[in-house]
Amino acid sequence: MRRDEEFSEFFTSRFDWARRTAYALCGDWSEAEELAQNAFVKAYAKWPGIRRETAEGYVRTIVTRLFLDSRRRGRGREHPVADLPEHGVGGGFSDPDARLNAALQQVAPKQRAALVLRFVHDLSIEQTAAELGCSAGNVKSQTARGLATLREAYGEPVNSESA
Amino acid sequence: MNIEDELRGALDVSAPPPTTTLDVVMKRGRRRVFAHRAGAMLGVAVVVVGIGIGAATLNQAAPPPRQADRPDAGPATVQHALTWPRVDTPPQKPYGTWSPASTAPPPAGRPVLPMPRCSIGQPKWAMKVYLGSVQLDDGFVQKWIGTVREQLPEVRVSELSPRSDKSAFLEYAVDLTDSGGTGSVRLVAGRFAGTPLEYADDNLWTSGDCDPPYRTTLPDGTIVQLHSVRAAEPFQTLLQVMEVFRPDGLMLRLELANYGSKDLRPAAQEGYWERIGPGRVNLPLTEEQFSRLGPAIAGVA
Repeated sequence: MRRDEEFSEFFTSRFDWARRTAYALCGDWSEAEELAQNAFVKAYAKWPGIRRETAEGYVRTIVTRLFLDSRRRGRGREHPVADLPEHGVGGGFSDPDARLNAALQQVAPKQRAALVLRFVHDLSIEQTAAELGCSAGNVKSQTARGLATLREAYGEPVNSESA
Repeated sequence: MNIEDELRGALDVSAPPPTTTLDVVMKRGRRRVFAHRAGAMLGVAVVVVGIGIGAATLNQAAPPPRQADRPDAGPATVQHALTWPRVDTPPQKPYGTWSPASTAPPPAGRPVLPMPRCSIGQPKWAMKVYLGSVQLDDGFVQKWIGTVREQLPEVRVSELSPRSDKSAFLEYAVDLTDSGGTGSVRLVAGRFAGTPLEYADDNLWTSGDCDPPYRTTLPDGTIVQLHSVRAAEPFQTLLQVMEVFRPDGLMLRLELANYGSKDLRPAAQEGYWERIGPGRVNLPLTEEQFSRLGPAIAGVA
């Protein structure tokens, strides 16, 4: 079936990309896998109505919105202090990847989503606003506040393009 | 260093291999398509039937409405062995139904429990000493284990499970075993600065309950609060929490789990544990059995 062939090709080429995007948002590989998988399941269900050239943006939007929904619903607070951690913990702070990830986790979820879309995916303010479902002004303020928090979380002075 | 450049490289991180396969995604996608179509057809059928029933009963008096602030106690034939009342407050509206993550599903043959999921509330009142930061002395812990054995003669209660000296989170666990397998109950303590009622009310929804918790107040003013069973990752873990708020400001939190010490192993990071086994199919205690532990532990010095 042509639908399955096209989807298969898209999945093979973009699943890891979606998973890494989700990881930049949530900071947990297990949750990132879940977010990416759910996004591709939704994409499969809508595949006949999705144009191939916009499929990537469609999946990215779903990943971002699933992430924000999970945070609104309190997933991030689901295991506060009383539970044993039930999966492994990432690398130490000597690892630059882990350091950036740890700093990103200090940024509020919507600000983090704005940073990931703006800088990781290099989207314009208008494109970011469309993916987040908010105004361009809101994206600007979320980005500025997110960058400020991120700089502070990094714990050392850094340059900024917008400084 | 430029923070924006750092961000631009955020996707180029070392990653574990993906576990999701195309086959899994397409199977779930097809189920989703089928569910949408079935839902649409069912919706049409419901509307048609609804119009028919509505027309037939239009002239009949409507039954008295159910009080909105009373939770539905379920069918009249359901018997609750636990006699504590639920807190008199409206229930939370579920936002969805539990479904396990594909990366850690329950073992083969174990049915998925479609439990309603509700938001986990954030407490408004700060603890004087956070849960898990109060070190209970050996005498207290041994008395607690003795109390558990005394209250649950029908269950085999282990010695205190080993805990890591590196862990900053102070918890005390014992395994509970019966013919259905081994589960556990864990005790942590904290301190609060207000009244038991203020903190009990503040913790109504912090365990993700949909229905208000069961509650009893002891003669000395201690409040014991029993929350609903909830499912969690991994392997469809089952958890149930009971909180004890003593007038002297000590808060004790008991968590019943369907897994025991044999389902855990020390994680790579010192002081942490990771799950390796799915545990038993159900919790090791009924609500009535678990509820015995609250009032009993409240009296431990």
